[in-house]
Amino acid sequence: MASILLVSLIKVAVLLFFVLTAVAYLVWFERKVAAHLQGRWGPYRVGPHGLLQPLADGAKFLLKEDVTPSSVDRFVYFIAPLVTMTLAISAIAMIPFGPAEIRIFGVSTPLVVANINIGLLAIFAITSVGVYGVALAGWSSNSKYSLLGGLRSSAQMVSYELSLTLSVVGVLLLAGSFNLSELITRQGGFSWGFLPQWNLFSPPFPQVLGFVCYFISAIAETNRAPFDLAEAESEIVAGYHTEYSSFKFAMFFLGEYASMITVACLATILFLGGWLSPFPQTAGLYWTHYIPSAVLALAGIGLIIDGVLYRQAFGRVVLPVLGLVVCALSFLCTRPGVIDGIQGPFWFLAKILFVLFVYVWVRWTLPRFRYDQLMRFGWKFLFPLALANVVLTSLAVVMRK
Amino acid sequence: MTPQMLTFLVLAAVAVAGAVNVIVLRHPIHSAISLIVVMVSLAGLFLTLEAEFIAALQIIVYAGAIMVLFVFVIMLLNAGEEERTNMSRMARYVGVPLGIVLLGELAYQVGAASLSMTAQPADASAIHGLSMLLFQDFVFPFELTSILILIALLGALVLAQRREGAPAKREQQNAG
Repeated sequence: MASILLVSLIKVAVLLFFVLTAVAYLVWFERKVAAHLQGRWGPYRVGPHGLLQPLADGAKFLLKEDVTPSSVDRFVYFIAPLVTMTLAISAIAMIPFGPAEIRIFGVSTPLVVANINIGLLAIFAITSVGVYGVALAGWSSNSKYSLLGGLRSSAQMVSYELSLTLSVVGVLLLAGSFNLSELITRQGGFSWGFLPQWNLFSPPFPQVLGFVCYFISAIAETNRAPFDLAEAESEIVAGYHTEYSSFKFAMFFLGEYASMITVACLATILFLGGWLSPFPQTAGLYWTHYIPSAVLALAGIGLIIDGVLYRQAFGRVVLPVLGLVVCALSFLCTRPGVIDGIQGPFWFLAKILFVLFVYVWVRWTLPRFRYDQLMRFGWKFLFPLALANVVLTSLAVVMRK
Repeated sequence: MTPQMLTFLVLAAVAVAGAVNVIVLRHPIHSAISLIVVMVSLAGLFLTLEAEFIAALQIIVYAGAIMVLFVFVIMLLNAGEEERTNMSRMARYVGVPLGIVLLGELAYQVGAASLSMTAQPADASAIHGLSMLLFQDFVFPFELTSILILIALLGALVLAQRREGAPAKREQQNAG
């Protein structure tokens, strides 16, 4: 009992560390991608390639003066950012990162903090409560812009939650389980020997419609462009977090990026086969097991070359060292004990990164919706589409039986 | 004291405190937040009974959907603080004694009943059993209920819709 508790605590601490780091670097990633999409350089000053920018941002958020406007509702004003961040981070506890079990203190445990039978429902429960963070922040700030942002966001999130939940029903019909690990293992297998049977391509009814619905509603659900009407800066200053400063603002920031990660993880698990490799696991294709170390080796060599040629002395030291570390990791990944264990997490992370890239790409490509367009799109297009997907999938499932 | 008992006591205390807060607090938003706390701690109580599915539904439906609408409406109307009134004579001389009688009766009945708080073993097919009941055995009442809700929805739409050609009721907006 005590050792299980200890193992859980260790897993929570490790996950928390990784999630917070990932969130910090996701911000860096977004700024870099955005800059390159617009023909700029992005963060470049703090550390080589701006790699220390997240640290600088964190320090700034911690050290800035925390201004509380005079007529806010203090209690609600204080708990709203807490609610947002806590819920966004705790949803990640349900995500399984790989098929392997690891051993800590003699207790064998899977790569997930909470492997529960209703994992998917639990995540939806947590995200559905996440509306309050934004709504209450908007209300308690006692400012018209905040209130408008909070109102917009709560109406939008309630509307798009419907299509989000409905778009997943097709996957559930195919798999017959709410457990996320089980949902992934059911997607194993290949059609015609090469096309992976991930739910996106799987017979009898590929979940392409479901995936499109899920992805669009997920963007709306996380309040990101083109659905970021809650913080439309050209209309309502900064929406619900107008009156927040310093670390309370940072909490909203963290929450937004953490829920981006959750949504990307869910997209990967539900539609893109989770940790499953896109290559069949046959003897002839065993070389695909070396893809993770090949990718790492290429990245390491690239870092070393880039580092040697870097302008600043600091970068000339740090980047080659980083490159050497990555090369060492790549060598470690070819070792017999490690090579099989690394496959699941590698493919999982690769797919998540791809989804996150698309996420960022969409944000910096499409202009913002108008509010009536947003509502019309959600209710008159996305919702019927998700419903049609449910009907067609259940027909296909019944026909196969 | 077992861990189960401890979790139960904490969750029950939070639920009761939240429920009292719903009535005592004067601002509608604060009351709504207290109600959300009650819902969430009830979900926690379901979890201690190993009814995961019901717990998730409790949060998704009540905390995630219904209460969001409550909060939304309160925000939209920008409702201010309620004023405390002295109790009416009716409430003081009839309501309070009846309330105390009801409370005593409930306490007596709960104390007399032999309720066991042990969790039933978790059944992996709980969702399956529930859906079989809902969509197989009781499918007619289930569909009937959903049609009833649909009718209520349509009725609300018809009532809320402005008549063709009728002028907008300005004076009502001013009064509100």
